[in-house]
Amino acid sequence: MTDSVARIADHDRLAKARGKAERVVSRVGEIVLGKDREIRLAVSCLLAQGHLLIEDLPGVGKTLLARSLAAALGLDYRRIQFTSDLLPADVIGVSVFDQTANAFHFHPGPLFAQLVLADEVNRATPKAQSALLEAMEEHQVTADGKTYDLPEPFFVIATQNPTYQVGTFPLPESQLDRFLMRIGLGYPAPELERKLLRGDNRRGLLADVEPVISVEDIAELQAAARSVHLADALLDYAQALINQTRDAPELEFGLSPRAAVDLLSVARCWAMLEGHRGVRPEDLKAVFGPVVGHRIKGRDQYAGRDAETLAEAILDSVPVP
Amino acid sequence: MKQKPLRERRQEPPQESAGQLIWLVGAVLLATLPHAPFVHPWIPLMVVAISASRLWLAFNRKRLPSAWLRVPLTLLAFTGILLTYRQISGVDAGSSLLLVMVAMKLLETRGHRDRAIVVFICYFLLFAAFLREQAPWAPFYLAIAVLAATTALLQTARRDQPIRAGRALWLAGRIVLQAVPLMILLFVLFPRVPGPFWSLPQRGGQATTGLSDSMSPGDITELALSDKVAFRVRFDDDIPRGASLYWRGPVLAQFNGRSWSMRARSYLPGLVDKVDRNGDSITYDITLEPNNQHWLLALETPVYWSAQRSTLTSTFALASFSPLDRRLSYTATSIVSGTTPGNMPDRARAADTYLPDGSNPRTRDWARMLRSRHETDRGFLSAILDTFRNQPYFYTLTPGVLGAQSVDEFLFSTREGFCGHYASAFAVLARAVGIPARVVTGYQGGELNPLGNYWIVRQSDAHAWVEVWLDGRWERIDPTAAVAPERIEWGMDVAIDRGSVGGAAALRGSAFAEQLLLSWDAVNTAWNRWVLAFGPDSQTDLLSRIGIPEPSTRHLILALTIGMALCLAWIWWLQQQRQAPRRDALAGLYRLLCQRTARAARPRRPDEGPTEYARAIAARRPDLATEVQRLFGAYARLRYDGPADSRRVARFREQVRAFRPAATPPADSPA
Repeated sequence: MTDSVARIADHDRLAKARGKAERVVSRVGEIVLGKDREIRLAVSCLLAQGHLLIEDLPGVGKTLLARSLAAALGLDYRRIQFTSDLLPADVIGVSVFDQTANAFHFHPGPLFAQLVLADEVNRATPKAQSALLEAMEEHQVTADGKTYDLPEPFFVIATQNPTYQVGTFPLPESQLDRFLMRIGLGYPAPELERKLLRGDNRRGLLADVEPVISVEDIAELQAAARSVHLADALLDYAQALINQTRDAPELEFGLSPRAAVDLLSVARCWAMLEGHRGVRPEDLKAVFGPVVGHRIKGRDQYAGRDAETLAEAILDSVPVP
Repeated sequence: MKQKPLRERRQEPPQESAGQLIWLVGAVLLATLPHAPFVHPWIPLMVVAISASRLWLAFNRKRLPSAWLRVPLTLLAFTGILLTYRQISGVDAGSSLLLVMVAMKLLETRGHRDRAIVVFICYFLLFAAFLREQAPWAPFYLAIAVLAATTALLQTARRDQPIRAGRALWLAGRIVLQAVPLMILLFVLFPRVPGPFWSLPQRGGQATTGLSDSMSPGDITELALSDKVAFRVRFDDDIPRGASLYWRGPVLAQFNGRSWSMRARSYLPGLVDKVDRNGDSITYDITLEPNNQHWLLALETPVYWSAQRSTLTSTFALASFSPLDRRLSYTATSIVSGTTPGNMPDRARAADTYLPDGSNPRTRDWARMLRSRHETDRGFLSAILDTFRNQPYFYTLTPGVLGAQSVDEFLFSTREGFCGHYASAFAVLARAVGIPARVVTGYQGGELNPLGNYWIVRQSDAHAWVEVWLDGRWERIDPTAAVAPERIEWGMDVAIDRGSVGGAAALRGSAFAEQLLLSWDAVNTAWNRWVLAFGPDSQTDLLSRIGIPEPSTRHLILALTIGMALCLAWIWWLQQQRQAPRRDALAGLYRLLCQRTARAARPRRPDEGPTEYARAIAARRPDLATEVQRLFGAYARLRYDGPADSRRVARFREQVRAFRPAATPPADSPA
């Protein structure tokens, strides 16, 4: 009896959470046109408390997506433009000697924000990159021997140019693993592009965006997502997928347990957005490519193949129970 | 459209990987090897050539030959077999046919099925290899070959998910090891059918070794050069000294002036009763190597023997009704009082003292002269032995060639000979003065293998001696003992310097090598005794010892069938246990639902989830859209949205059962 009461309560909570999350999605969707899937993925990623990597050509709307997410979620937003001469201190902040107080005073860098857009992260040197990535992992920074906590929630949306472009320092696999998800945006559909060409400056619209949920709501949404059910059959399927990445001859190496945990937590958020009370195979499949793509690497003749294709192939080869 | 490499592989298997092919070809070659020495050389050559060209084709990424080449090649090979063997049944022609088939199949291994066929022919060839070789090492070789074949099978069986060679080998090893207890169980329990059921038609033209039904001067010399094992003996009690080990074979009582031969055999089944059983008896187990002859060796005088389809001849030799084409084990008991009983009617006396007219005149004259100097027959006979002993007579493996009057020439000119010469001369001398005498051939002595505590009797231990009728009994006299007593006491190696003989005999010179040879022989003997000789009798014996008295073949078959059925049931149950969580009621209903939609639209791809599939069906069959979405939605909720309560499962069951979509959309709806 209590069980079913709890389930009904859960149900209500999930339904409410879904409504709020949907509002975020639709608000962002008003600004970033025709990218419903990517927006949902980004929201799922943030709800799963992960950091997002957007990899695509300049000018397809990466920054716009990050800024509109920040606006819709009501988060304090900073942007760091990564360049090849960026220093760790430019990210973290510096201690400056205050003559009146006769002491060093820490000036927080742009990292001290709830949502940080690290633009073109692969243009910076590995040293600057690792300052950011360390902060992402620890949710705190250390400067001159003192540790400073970063604000909560803390999200990083990093954008990256395709690595084949000139002047890039590709992120190593170990650091890519710190991003929960990697998505691309791609060119808009023709009719939407026409709308874009005809319409207002999308950035101008940003000013009008009011937050649709509060910071407390975000915590609530995150908790709700954690209550999405994981059936045994679904776990079987997830494990089969993970094992397939480890066995497939096409791949250099398989997914780590951390990647597996990430996969399920994103799938829960996605399922919540879909209005499912439990994660379904389709939910898992929807987030599989973005969560897994940057953590696998093709071997031999598959080396050149892009990660999404490989992820797709893995999905195709594992039967749904 | 994105490429989907894994799915492509599942639908249309590409050429096997190089590793897979190497294992497959390796399995074929390993299966071919045991047959190679027995079939006509062109057949293994063809297998090797085709295997090599198959590998070449694969490594150079060439296409496999078309049917235009394969069919004529196959027909040619079959014709070749027909021309070689003039038949297609029998062990040789049959295995040749299999070898050719497996080689030709290698040229068309396109898919999983072809490769599996190759592997199964390999299994069959390996099974048939037991018809060729049953030595103790054979099972180990075959186990390795089976391992390779199983590895190849596993590699081809995992179609959608290639398996690394190391892992396949590991799995195959586990499978083979798991089969061992079953193998032992079947070995013990599988009904043994006595008689010719197990013996396949023998390969024709097999050389016969061993004692023959006649003896000309020099015959036994050939045997003495052979190191092949004639038989092995294990004594129940004390092992008698080598001197008394006279293994009787054919008794040659007919002399034509030059060679001795057997009389037409007469079988006297009641003869055993005439033996005086009061003498010392000795019981022993003999394992006789196949020699395509009839003689079962035994010490004199056998009163009991366990071999079936055999008899005691009138000369107290044991003979089998059919040629010994397989290794034969039997237990025998002999009364060893030194003489062989018999009776001597006049007609028999005439036959046993017969010498052809005009043969060996000098010998006969000398015999009569010698007899006249002695009072008794016995005195006369020992005088002959004394002559052999004291006069310059030589015991040699390489005596001079003798002509028609062989005994005359031997006794008075060459004076050198082998046991056959002395026995022949002695018997002629006895007959010349009217003493019934006959030549007995067989084996004398042997080599004790202390490791297995049994005797090895080789062809080189072949011997001939004489039996004479004295005081109403047949008495054994060995003239060779007078010439070369060491031959009787210590065996052939001591009597004659055989350094020039070479081969294994030369090897036996070194103590270490000798030890090695004896160990290997002990292993062989244990193998023969415990494994190969496990026939219907041993089986009955073993089963009655573990409390199943008198098991009939029918009972065994019944027990085996029930046992197999239980095993299968157990395996099935294990499988069920493993899949239990997936095979619940809901999964069954989902399968049913998918079957019905499969008929109505298309089957569900294995990688499709319920929602995706429902959407695809709805797109294809708009008339069913609502129903399908509702059913698949219900399934997804029951399956994935937390524990399903039984009432909702029951409702879902009714809905699924009620859902019977037409195979084609109704005419008025848009297709």
